[in-house]
Amino acid sequence: MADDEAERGEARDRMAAALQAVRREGRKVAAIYATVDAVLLGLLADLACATVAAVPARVALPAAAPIDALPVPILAAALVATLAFAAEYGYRTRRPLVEQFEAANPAVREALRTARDAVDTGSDTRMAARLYERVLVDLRETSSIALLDARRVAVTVVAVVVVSLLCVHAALAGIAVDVGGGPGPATASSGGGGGGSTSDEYGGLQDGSGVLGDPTDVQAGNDALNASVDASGGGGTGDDGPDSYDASGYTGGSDAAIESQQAGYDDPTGIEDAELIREYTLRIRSNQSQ
Amino acid sequence: MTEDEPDIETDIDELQERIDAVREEIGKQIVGQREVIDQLLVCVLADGNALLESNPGLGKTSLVRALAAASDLSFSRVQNTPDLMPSDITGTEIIRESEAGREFVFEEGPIFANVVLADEINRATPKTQAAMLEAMQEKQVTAAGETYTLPDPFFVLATQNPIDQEGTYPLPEAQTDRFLLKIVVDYPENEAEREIVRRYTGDVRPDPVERVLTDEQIRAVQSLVRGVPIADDLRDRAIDLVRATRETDEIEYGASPRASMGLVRTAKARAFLAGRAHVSWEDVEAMARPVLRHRIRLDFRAEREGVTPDDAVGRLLEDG
Repeated sequence: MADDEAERGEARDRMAAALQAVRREGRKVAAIYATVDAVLLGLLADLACATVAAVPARVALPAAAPIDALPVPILAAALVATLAFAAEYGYRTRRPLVEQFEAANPAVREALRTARDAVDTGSDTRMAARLYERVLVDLRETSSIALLDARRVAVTVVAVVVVSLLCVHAALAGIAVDVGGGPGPATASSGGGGGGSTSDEYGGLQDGSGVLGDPTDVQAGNDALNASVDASGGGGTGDDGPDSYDASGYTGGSDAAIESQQAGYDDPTGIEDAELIREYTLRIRSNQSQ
Repeated sequence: MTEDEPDIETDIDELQERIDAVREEIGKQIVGQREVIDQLLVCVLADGNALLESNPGLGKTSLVRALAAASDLSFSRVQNTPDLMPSDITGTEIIRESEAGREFVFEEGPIFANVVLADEINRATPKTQAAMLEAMQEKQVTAAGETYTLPDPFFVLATQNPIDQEGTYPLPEAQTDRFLLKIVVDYPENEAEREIVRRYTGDVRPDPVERVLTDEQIRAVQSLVRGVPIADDLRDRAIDLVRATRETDEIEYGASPRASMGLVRTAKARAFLAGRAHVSWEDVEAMARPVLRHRIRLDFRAEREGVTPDDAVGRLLEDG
């Protein structure tokens, strides 16, 4: 008789352990759902922050923080994912886990619920022990996989992959969508700019020769010129006019009046040889300084 | 092991097989009526008393006799009539002469049996009915200041005829409430009736009912039935169902808390009979009508519309 009682107590203990295992499986499933959903929402938040022009790229941290600033998309993604995980996990584990398992395994529904209540009340009658044994056998044939909606999880994982790729693409290509906070219409700009009003589509690297034009020979530059600068005091005579330059030392190499020359472009789009321009410029400046 | 459990090592499977064997043995005498037989066995397993209602000639007495014969239970029958006195049932003291002289001894009445068939109980006077029902409830009788305990197990299976009401004393609600079940025996199906006629009008007599269950085993089963676990939510739903009989418009007087207890007990017994170790809602549903039909009184408007107690309980089940 004592053996019988011990046996029944043992059956109840095994049932209690099995119920704990069922609850543990329920928590695992809740964690799986919460994780995939949280990852998806976090990625969506990241994508939204990365592509919406109005969202700043970085947010400054307090001075006490080890780093100065954090990228807003990463911060938003982490925040949203954490909140989503906590909310969903809490919601899914709020309903009794054994009842969730029963719903997923209708074959053991009533027996399992009865066994749970019997264990809770400490029932160890012979019929209760018999129920425990039967439920334990039935539980071996059930699976907590039924708790998991594989299709839903698969769809969520696919969505996670797609959104991840979108995030990567948005980061590389620098897609920015102006949702009304910017100064101009929603545009796509090179370099991740902020939607300016000018059209500055990126056309690739341009040919330097195309920009500068073909080099051309210049006629001037062979004569050596002597220039003199009036060394009178800074006050001068007071009659230095714009034409005093000619009368104040520069005599030129010929009788003709020397006209000042400046480097220039031979046409609006082309320029002279850069070395020549540079030399002229230096010489002119030298004359001016004298 | 608790005090209630018998001091025998019995295997649950074996007991369930025995109960199945009883069912088969009764089936040798009673054709069809599977549901009625099951309800009667539920009543035995739940340690209750049953009120059998049917038109005459439907085999109520044979059913109860077969039940007693299949088990190791003593059987007695009381044919109730208006002139039946309480002492005719419970017993009385008589003077007996012996070598030591004359002495008063208690002569046990027919109620001192494990299974008592009280035929047409509504023909007995209220006083006799009360004596029987008191014995049924208390499981003891008192005569000349002495209390005598009735045998254990003890069942009263009372019958009444619903159509011939003249000269009868219908049981008051307080009395009917003491019956765990009211079992309605209906007319047999066509094939079953042909089999009855074939079996009882030929040269070959039906196989005799064999004894397959002892009274000790019955007590063991009753103990096991009390220990059948029931889920909390199922018990609550069963109680809510009984409570709903007090609130619905169709029912003037609803069932008592005794009905709630009876519903749970019989659901447990039915689960055991079905070989289960737990109560299912199906058990509660199946036992709701037999447990409640004699414990409720319909509102006169519902009666006028032809609603029966079974209909009213059925609607409550649908609503629940």
